[in-house]
This record gives sequence, structure tokens and C-alpha cells, in this order.
Amino acid sequence: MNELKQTLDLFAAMGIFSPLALAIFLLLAFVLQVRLHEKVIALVVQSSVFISFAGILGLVIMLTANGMKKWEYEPFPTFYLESFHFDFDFYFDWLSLSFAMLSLLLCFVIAFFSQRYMHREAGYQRFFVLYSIFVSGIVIASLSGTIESLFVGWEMVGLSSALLVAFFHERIMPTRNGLHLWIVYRISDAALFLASYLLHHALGQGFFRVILEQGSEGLAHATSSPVYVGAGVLIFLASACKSALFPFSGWLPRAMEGPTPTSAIFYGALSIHLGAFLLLRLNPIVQLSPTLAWVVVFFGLLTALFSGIIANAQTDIKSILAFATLTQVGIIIAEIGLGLEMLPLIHIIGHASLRTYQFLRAPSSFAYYKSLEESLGRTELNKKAINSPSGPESNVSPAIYAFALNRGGMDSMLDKFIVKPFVQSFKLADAFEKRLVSMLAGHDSSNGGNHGEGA
Amino acid sequence: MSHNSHTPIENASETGNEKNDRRLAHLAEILSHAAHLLPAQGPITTFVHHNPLHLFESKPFHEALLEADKIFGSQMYLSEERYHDELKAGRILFSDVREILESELGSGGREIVIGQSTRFDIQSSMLRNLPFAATEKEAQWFIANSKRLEKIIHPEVVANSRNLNLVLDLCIKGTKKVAAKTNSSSPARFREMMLEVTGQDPDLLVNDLLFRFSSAFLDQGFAIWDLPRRDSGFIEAFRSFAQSSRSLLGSWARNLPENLELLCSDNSSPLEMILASLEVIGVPEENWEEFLTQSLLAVRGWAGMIWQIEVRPDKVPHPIKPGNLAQFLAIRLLLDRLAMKKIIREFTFRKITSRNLKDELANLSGRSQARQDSTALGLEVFCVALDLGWEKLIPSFTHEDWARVVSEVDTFTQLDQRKIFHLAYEKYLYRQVLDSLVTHKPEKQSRAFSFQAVFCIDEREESLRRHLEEIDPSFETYGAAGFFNVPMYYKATLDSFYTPLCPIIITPSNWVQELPEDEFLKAYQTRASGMKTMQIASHKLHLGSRGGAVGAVLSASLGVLASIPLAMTVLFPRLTAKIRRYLTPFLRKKIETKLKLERFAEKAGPSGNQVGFSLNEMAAMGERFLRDTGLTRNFCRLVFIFGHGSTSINTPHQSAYDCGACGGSPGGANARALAQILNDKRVRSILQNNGIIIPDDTCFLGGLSNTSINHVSFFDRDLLPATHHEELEKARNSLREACMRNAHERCRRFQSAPLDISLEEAQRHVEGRAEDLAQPRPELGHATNAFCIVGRRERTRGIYLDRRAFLVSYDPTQDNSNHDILNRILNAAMPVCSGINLEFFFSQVDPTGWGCGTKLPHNPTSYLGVMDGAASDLRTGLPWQVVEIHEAVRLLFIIETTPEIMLKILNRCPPLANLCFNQWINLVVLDPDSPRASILKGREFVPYEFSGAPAPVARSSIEWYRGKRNHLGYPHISSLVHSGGNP
Repeated sequence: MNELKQTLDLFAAMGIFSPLALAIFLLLAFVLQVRLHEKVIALVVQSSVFISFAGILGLVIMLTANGMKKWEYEPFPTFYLESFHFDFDFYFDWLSLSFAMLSLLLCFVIAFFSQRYMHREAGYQRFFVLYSIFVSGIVIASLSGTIESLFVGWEMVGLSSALLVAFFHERIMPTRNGLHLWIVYRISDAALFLASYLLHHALGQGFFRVILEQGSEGLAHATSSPVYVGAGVLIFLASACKSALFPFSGWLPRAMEGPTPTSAIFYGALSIHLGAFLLLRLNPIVQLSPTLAWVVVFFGLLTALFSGIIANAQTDIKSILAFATLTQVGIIIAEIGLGLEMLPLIHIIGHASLRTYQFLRAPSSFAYYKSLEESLGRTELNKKAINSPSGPESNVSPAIYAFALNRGGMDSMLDKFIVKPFVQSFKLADAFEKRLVSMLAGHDSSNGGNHGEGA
Repeated sequence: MSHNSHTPIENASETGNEKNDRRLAHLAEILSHAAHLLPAQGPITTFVHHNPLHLFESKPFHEALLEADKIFGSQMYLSEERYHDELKAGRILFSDVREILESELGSGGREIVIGQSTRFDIQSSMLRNLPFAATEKEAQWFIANSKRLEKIIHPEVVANSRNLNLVLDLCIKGTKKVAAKTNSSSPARFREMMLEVTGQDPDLLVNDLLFRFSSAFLDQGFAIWDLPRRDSGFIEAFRSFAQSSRSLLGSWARNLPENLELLCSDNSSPLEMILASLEVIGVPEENWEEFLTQSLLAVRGWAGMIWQIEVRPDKVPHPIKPGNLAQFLAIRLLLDRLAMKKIIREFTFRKITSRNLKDELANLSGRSQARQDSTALGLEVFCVALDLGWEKLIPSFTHEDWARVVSEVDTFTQLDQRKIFHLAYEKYLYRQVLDSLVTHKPEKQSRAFSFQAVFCIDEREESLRRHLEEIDPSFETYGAAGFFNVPMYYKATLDSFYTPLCPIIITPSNWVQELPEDEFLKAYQTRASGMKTMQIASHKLHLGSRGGAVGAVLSASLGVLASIPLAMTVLFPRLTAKIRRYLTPFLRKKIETKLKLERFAEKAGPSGNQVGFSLNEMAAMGERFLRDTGLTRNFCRLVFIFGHGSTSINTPHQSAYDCGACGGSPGGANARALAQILNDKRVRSILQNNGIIIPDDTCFLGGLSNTSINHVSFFDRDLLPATHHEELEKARNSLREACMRNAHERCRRFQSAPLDISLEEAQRHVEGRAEDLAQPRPELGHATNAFCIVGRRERTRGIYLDRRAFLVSYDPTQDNSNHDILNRILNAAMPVCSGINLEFFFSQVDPTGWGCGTKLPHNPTSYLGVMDGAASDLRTGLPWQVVEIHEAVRLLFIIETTPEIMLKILNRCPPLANLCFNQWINLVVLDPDSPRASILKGREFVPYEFSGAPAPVARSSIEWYRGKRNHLGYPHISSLVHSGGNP
């Protein structure tokens, strides 16, 4: 038994720490400004993702062979703070293992893709630094056994995603859109943080094991069930931001700024499903309140409906795919709200694979449409004939069309109510600080700025 | 702001109406001029290379660039840093720089400016030193950190002048005293000013909406829904859209519907709407042109595409009516107004209306601090002073001395300096190739050839031809524009419409169809209907995967299967391609086809008996082809004609790799058609009457050369008589070997191919590139093109031209006294080749300004072009990946003829004269009877002086390029030339 435990722990450690070591290595090299050769980077990235995948696969095989359903891995001792204790533990069961395997498989493919795609690009090394942070984040988040470790992974995914959106930072739009995404993610992080606080408050700890083993019924009998409902609402908020559900969908099309493989992996496949995964992981808490469960179903379906409508008017491949993705994510969320377990997981896996493929092939769309045009003819390509056999264009009412082309106004709403206040409060603080500094330094404020730049 | 001080001179007797009409006419004129400044790139699926400054070709190159510099805001030459790097690397010689400077200055160069220093001294000193401050800020930083100066200025100069800081101080002060108080001309649009004063960019607000709407307006099939009221024009469609999206727009556009109604209310035309906006913004009439031009150029991608579709509606499935560009501009100006109002309102906390907008804008402009400083200029004077040893003189400089010196330094602008460098950069390259050409000696005795092969003039075929001749010297090769004089609309068996296969300047008047052979008719019909069903089904599936319910079922059930092709194509691209190729014959039987080439009806047309050419037309085309290339005698038993095309996946710009002479399509069908024409007995008998005797046992065979995977294939091989099979087999072996060597030579340019790659690996490598989903560089297209050589192959046979030369076959001894052949050839080759060359030139000089930047974030849009990331202007030009290794030089045309004939031709054809006399291409003639060359200077030819260095000699191409990645010289391949040595 002890031998088995050692083997399982070894596999688990391979799975988790291999990408983490990679991220630390690449980050250090980057910070120390050591320029690594493209091939070296590709080699370490591929081998580390492979080791991680092999570890998880080994774990699956060992568990199945021994007829076990789950496994816990505690690499660190518990950290106590007064009555709370914090654990960075990992929990392996059908759900976390499937999601981690999916993530690693897609990341592995993307690593190979990017190695050639990013060849000779000035930001090659930076790209893989961010990529490795993303991979370790997603592995940690999917395998975490406590809400604390989940939070760490969640943050890593969020940070690297925002920086990858802003990858081409010499242009203004990527940086603006990266900031936009980052702000929405902050809301998600704050919600998750509060949720973890509430869970700790109720349970004194953040183990998923406890929640999962008790299930909704078990939790319902607990005295602190209102706290669980509060946590459930926050968890839903966190995943709604991460999965771009209505009304947070505005950031998704804006995030298509990075190199093509990043759009594939972050928005087509993994990042966008992470919210759904969180909800699935903590579903017992959501299911605790039937009202909340119905709210989840409602928002899922609403998102699917809206993005289904919006997708019809999009004219660029990446936005088309973004809203197509969102439609499915909405449906997946609704499935989770209904209390299903296996179906959403299968749906996530299938959908992630499909979209990754479609995103990576996005530059082929001209060739695809050209072959379509050549064999069907221009008059028939004329979308009236094949896209909507129901009839000619005028069937779409201008109002619905405008709704779709404006992406439901969600973008400007998000901008107005969330991003702007956020940015403006920082700008105010910045202005205040500048004034304070120049006052303390004894300059008049108009020269202060220039002087600062000159020095 | 200057707009208060001037009012247009008005005729007192002009009535209001007349005035309005005159102003509208003026606007229309401005607009039509501005439209021609927009990028001329059409839909990306048929990419045609253009000179982005085509409109300026009537002006001399450098002057045109100076003028364009003020309009486009893109770089015109490489950066000074880049030229200095090339200087360090030995790619530019400073002796060339001095020589060019001397000839540019003429006698004015010897004028003494101060002390012993002439103008030439000052300018060459400025060229020698890289300025270390490009902007005022940088200059001030240097002054503040004057210790740094010592690190940058040559140590020996520093050692000689102890009081560096004193000299610097004097220079800065002296310059400040006399520097011309140039009024910093405020930019025509208010955007830069607003950005500077308020920190807000109105374009960001406007573009977000405008780009999204424009792409919906122009969409050719990507979106499922059509824009409502699209066919009523840009304004009507936008009006309907704006009314429905009131609550969905950002707060800046809240009043858009009302404003739009107000503007449209009295049935005003787009031009009247533009006029109204100009008045609200407060643009005086003399600034209209600049203002409107800049307003369009700020969104040049979308504006240009609207214009392109307006003028060439036949190129798209979903055309638009003329007049939309004006409507687009009218909407853009209205949006500009709204965005400006919002930004000023937030900045001043005042209510901004259409009435007070122009005053507020003027107020704001007053706060702009764009002041000119002379520190950078002072620094430059300082550098010259140190360099020319003026330290002792400087303290005694009078005011006049300072004025003279400063104006000397100031008038030798950055662009002038870069021009000198650029000329030296070109001169080095031209010298290399010309030296090699004038020392080249054709083989003494004319050889008896056993094969002839005609290729496209494309510079990518140069290496294939060279390798073929090295492998089997009994191959004689020719180069002709890749449509092979068969201009046609062409429809392949499974196509449903005709594509023009000829240079973009020619409009074909005949239609040609590919038809299945009779015994395959049935198979073809099943295939055609099957294909159609399959296409529709797969498209429906594809659309379904994007939708809700179907998408859910699909992705949950079959989605996971997508991971198989995903992993396979990314991890094992070559294996996947192999499997696909292996499976294809099982899935579909090969259908033999033929060309329907001969027309039986009187009039040509796209269907039935109207398809094809008449016998006389065929004979005329065949004869012209043979006469143009000079292939009129000594026919071999086998003559190959190779068109070319390129295959790759995941490349939006794929069409840019195809044949330029076929309008951005592969040219295989033209080669096939020509072979069929020349094999026709009746055509041959007509040709015989005209003096071209093709022996009965000569067979022409058409083929296609694939430039990305380096393969050649043949058409109609079954029609070749059995007597020729053995020879064909022999030729095929040589061709196969040549393709492999060609792939090998290409690989030296790919960083990802190791330098010691073997021939077989090289072939696999290039095939892998074309089949790789993740490969942004399946091939490098026309990159590195630099020369175009028009003449007999014997003049170039055996010279390694490094895949940089377009090679056009032309035999001056067969031309008539009117030089009609040369005239014809140049009229086709010069515009096409220079278009390719200048597109590469500018895309390399400014990859994000003229080119479309890096491919990685490109987002295919509207079935028309690519955007950067989520939403941007439509990006035109070439991607950085393609131009990365290109050298920005103008094409050097080397033509085998005499100066007199060349001048006669140029004087006969104004477009060619424009290109040559205005130096958009450089021109050299190579004497047909001797190795002498003459180079065009101004409007006359002067003899080219051989530099004296004999061209290097190499045993074979491989020996010469093996192990090297950079640009190489042009050696003689010893097995193919008589011998090296001086002329």
C-alpha cells in the first residue's frame, strides 16, 4: 500500500510540478535577460508538458488498475492562521483528471504549433514564458483539492491570458483589450476570493473533498447552509466572468488580439471552459439552492441565445468562432445548472477539441470559401442560397441585426459600468499621487512631469 | 491655427447656388484624387502586386518619395540605423557613398562654407556619423548627460578636443540664435492635436464602430446574415443600422440617430453632407484636400477596399454600386464630429454643439504645445564641427557664419541622407551583377540540345533552370511571361465560373473550358454532383458546429474526434499529408480531362460553341509566343512548357505566391493550352507559311511547376506518341533531380532548415512546409528579387543569379527593324516586374506602414482581407514574414539591345518612359554583339565601367551556396561557361 502511495504521489508530482518548474525556469531566464535559443525553449516546453501528461496518464492507469476512484496528494504541510488552516492540496478524480488531461493534450499540441508558428518572432521567448504560466495555472486549477490552490491556478491563468491578449504591445488595441480582459478577470478573482473566505468560514477549511463527499444533501443539513448559498452565488459570479456569460460577454471578441494559437487555446478551448469547470467542481454547493441552480440554467441559456443571435452578423472568423464558442459554453453552463455531471464534461471535452482545431485553421478560411465558391458558383455562394435556405436577407429585422452587430451592446455596457470606473479611479489615484509627490518635492506641478521624464 | 486668417477668394457676383455648386465640384475632384491614393489591393484571394505609389510614377523617384512622405506618414527609405548597419557589414561602401554624394552635388559641392570645409565635407561628415538624437527629447537627454557624448563620438576626436562641453555649448547656443523659426505646420486633422491636449483619441471611438460596420457592409459571405438595406448604399444602410442600435452604442454616439436624420433630412447628397461636416468642424477651403485625404488615409484599408469593389465589381460575388466611397467619408466625418464633441465636453465640462464645435477646436489647438526646438539641430552641428575640426574656429563664428553653417546642416535632410545611402546600397549590388554579366562568355560552339523547356520569367524559376542545365547541359531553357501569350477566361472541370488567366492589364476576349474525357463523362457527373452535395453538406455541418442546438449535439458527440486531425496535422504534418495522398485514389478515381480550346461559333463567349479560340487566333498566339521567346528554329524533339503555381495551407496570402502573369492564379492551364496549340497540325502549317518550321517529330508538353513543394507535373502525357516516351523518361529524371536541388537551394534561406541538410531531406523539408498548418512561411515568394534580364539565355547561362533575377527570353537578332518584339515584351514585363519589386520594396522599408505587419494576429475578414487581431483597419501589402529577407532595392532591368533602340522604345511608350526616366526601375542595356553594357543616367546611356574585379568562379551552384544563408555574389559556374577572365 505504501509503495502504491509513493508511485501515485510521484505521478501526481510529475503532473503538477513539471509545468511549474518550466514556468519558473522560463520566467527566471526572461527576468535575467538570458536569451534562450528557440530550439531550446521548444524542447524544454514540449518535454515538460509531456512529462506532466505522462504523470497524469500514469496516475489514471494506476488508479484504474487498483480499482480506486480518487486520490489525494498533499505536497505541502498545512499552513495555520489562527483558527483557519490553508492547504495546497490536490484532488484527483474523474472530473479533475479528465479536465487536466484535456488541457495538457491541447497544450501539447499548441506547443508544437507555436514552435513553428512563432518562429523568428521578436516575442518568441516572452510568448513561451506566458504559455508556461498558463499551462501550470490550468493544471493547478484543474487538479486542486482545495479552494486555496484553485485560487492560485485561477490567478495564473488570468494573468497570463491578459498578457497574451496584449502580446503585440506595440499597437494600442491589444494593450487596451488586454486591460479590458484583466479588469473583468479581477471581478472574477474577487468573487472567488470571497467565496473561499465564506467556505472557510463555514467549514473551517477549503477541501473540495468534504464538499464533494457530503454532496448537496449533506451540506443542506449543515447549520451554515445560507453561507453556502452565498458562496454558491459568488462562485457562479466568478465562473460567469471567466466563461464570458451574459452580461460579461463583451470581453471575449476583444480578446482575439494575440497570435492565433493563443486565441485557440485560451478562448476556444481552455480558459473559457475554466469557469464551467469550477461550477462543475463545486456543483453540490450550487445545487444546494434550487433557485440558484435555475439562475445558472437561465444565464446559461440566455448566453447561448444571445451569442447564437450575435454570431450571425459577425464578419471576421475569430469573432464568428468566439460567439460560436460562447453559444456552447452557455449550453454547458445550463447543463451544469440542471445538476448533470457526465454530460457537461463530455460536452466540454468535445467542444474544446473542435474549437481548437477550428481556431488553428482560421487562416485557411479564405481557401475554404474559395473552394466553396469555385464548386458552388458565386450566385449560390451568395449566402441567401446556402447559409439560410429559409429565404433572402430581408427576413432579418434591422433591430435584431443591429443587436447582433453591436454584440448586444454588452461591450459598451461593460466599458461604461465596469472598465471605465475602474480605470478612472486608478487615474484619479495616479493624478493624486503625482500632485502629492510634486508637492512634497517642491516643484510646481506642470514641470514635475517633464522633469521626471528627463531624469 | 491658420484657418481664421484666410478666407477663399470669392467672386462677389457669385450667387449662393453657384458657390455651392463650385464647392461641391471641388469636393468631388478632391475625392476622386484621394481615392487613387488609397491602397489598390483587391480581394486577397487574387493577390496582385502593385506599386503602392503607382499614382506618383509620373514623378522622379526621390521627388515622389519626398511628396508621398508628407501624405502617407510611412517610411520611404530604410532607417539610417539600418543603412549604418549595412555600412558596418560591408554591404554599403563608404567610397560609393562619397562618389554618389559628389555626383549629386555637382559643382555646388566644392563651394566653401566655412574655413576649409566645403559643402561636400559637411554632408559627407553628416553621412559618416549616425545622429544620436532623432527627436528633441532625445537631444535634451544627451545634453543633460553630456558625459555620454564621449562614449559615442570617435575616441580619437575626443582626445583631440579637450573642451568638448564648451564646443557643445557654443554649438547649441549658436544654432538656437539662427535656427529658422519654422512654423510647425499643424496636422490637417485634429486628431493628433486632441490626443496631445486631452489624452483622448477620437479615432479609437470612431474606428470601433466604423470598422465593424464597414466589414459588414462589404462582407462577401463570411457572415450568415446580410446587412439590411445594404444595396441602398452605405448611408442608407448605416442610417437603418443606427436607428436600431440607439441604446446599444457607446455614450459618445448616443445622438447619432438624430444627427444622422438632421444630415439626411433635406435629401442632401453625400457630398453635401461632407460639406456640412467641414463647416461644423471649421476646415477652410484651402485645407479641404489635406483634411479629406487624411481622413480617408486614416482608414485606408477599408476605404480602399470600398473603392476597389466600386471600380471592379466583377471581382467579387457581392458587388456594391459606385459612389459608396463618398458616402463612407460622409459617415466617417459625422462620427468624427460626435467623437470630438464628446472628448471636448469631457475635457472642458462645457456643452458642445455643432455650432460651437469649431471654436472649441480652435481653443484647444491654442493649448497645443507643439513647439519647435533647435537642440537636435545644434547637436548635429556639433557633430559636424568636431568631425571637421572647427573647435578653434567656433569661438570666432559671426552671426552670418552660424546662419550659413546651420542652414547647410538643416537643409541636408534626413530623407536626402537616406537617399544617398540607398543609392550606394543599390550600387554595390548592381556592380556585382553587372561585373558578372560583362565578364561572362557564352560557350564557344553552339551546342546541339536535346530538350527545350520554357518556364515563367519568375525569379523563383531561375534556380530551377540553372540546376536543370547543370544536371543535363543538353537542356536549353527559355523564360516567358507565365500566361504564355494565351490570355483567357478559364474554367476547370469542377469549377463553376471562369477565372481570368492573364496579366491584370489585359482583359481576355476568349473563354476556355476543361472538360472530362468522353469515357469519364459519367464519372465526372457523379463526382460533380457528389462534390456539390458534399460541399453543401460539409458547409452545413460547419455552420451547424457554430450554431446552438446542432452545435451542442455535434460538439458533445463528434467534437472529440476533431482532436485526431488536430493532433495529427500539428504533430505529424508530413505523415498526415502522406496518408491523405495515399487515401485519395481510393476515394476518388482520377478523371482524365481535355481542354476545349477550339471555337466553332463565330463569336467568342462563355458557353457552348462560343468557348475557345478560332484556328487563326490559335496560330497567331502560338506564333507570337515563339517569336517573342526566339524559339523559332532548332526545335528539339521534346519541348516542355511549364506554368507555375504554389500550394500551401493556412496562408491567407497564398495567392501572392501564384503566378503574377496569370493575375495571381496558377498558370498550368495556359501552359497546357499553348502545348495543345503548338501540337496542332493545322496551326503548324499556318506557322510554316509564316516561316516557322516545326519538325513533325517535335512534341510540346505542358506542365506545372509547383514553387512551394518543388515538384513538376505534366498535362496530357497520354497524347505523347510512344516514340517519345524514352526521352520523356530521361528528361523527367533530370527534372526530378533539378527540383530536388532547387529545394535544397531554397532551404538555405530557411532558418529552420539546417545548413548541412541533404538533398533528399531538403525536398522533404519544403514539402513539409507546404503541408504544415503552423507554418507562416510556406515559401518566401518573390523575396530578394532585384534584377530582370531580358535577352538570350546564352548571355546568362552559367551565371549563378541566386534566385534574384526575372529572366525573359528575347533574341535581338530576330527582332524586326521596328523592334516590335522588344516593345511587346517590355510593355508586359516592365509594369508587372516593377509592380512586384516595388511592393516588396515598400513592404520591406516599412513592414507595418506599407506592409500588413506580422501574420500571427491576422484575422480573416469579410472574405476580402485580413485585420490585425479583434478589429482593425483592413491590412494591405505583404506580411513581414514574406519580406523579411528581402533587400529593398529597385529592380535593375538589363536588356540585350543597344542604347539607341532602347531610347526609341522608351520614347514610344510613355508608361515605360515614366518608369525608366523617373527611376522607378534602373535600366542597363547589354550590347548584343559585345560584352559591353551601358547604364541609363537621366535621359541618356553612359558606358558601364567594369570595376576590374573578375567574377568569382564556382564548380557548381551547390558548391557556391552550401553552408551560407546570406545574399551571395554572382559567380560563373565553370561547367557551363567558357571561362572567366576579363572582357
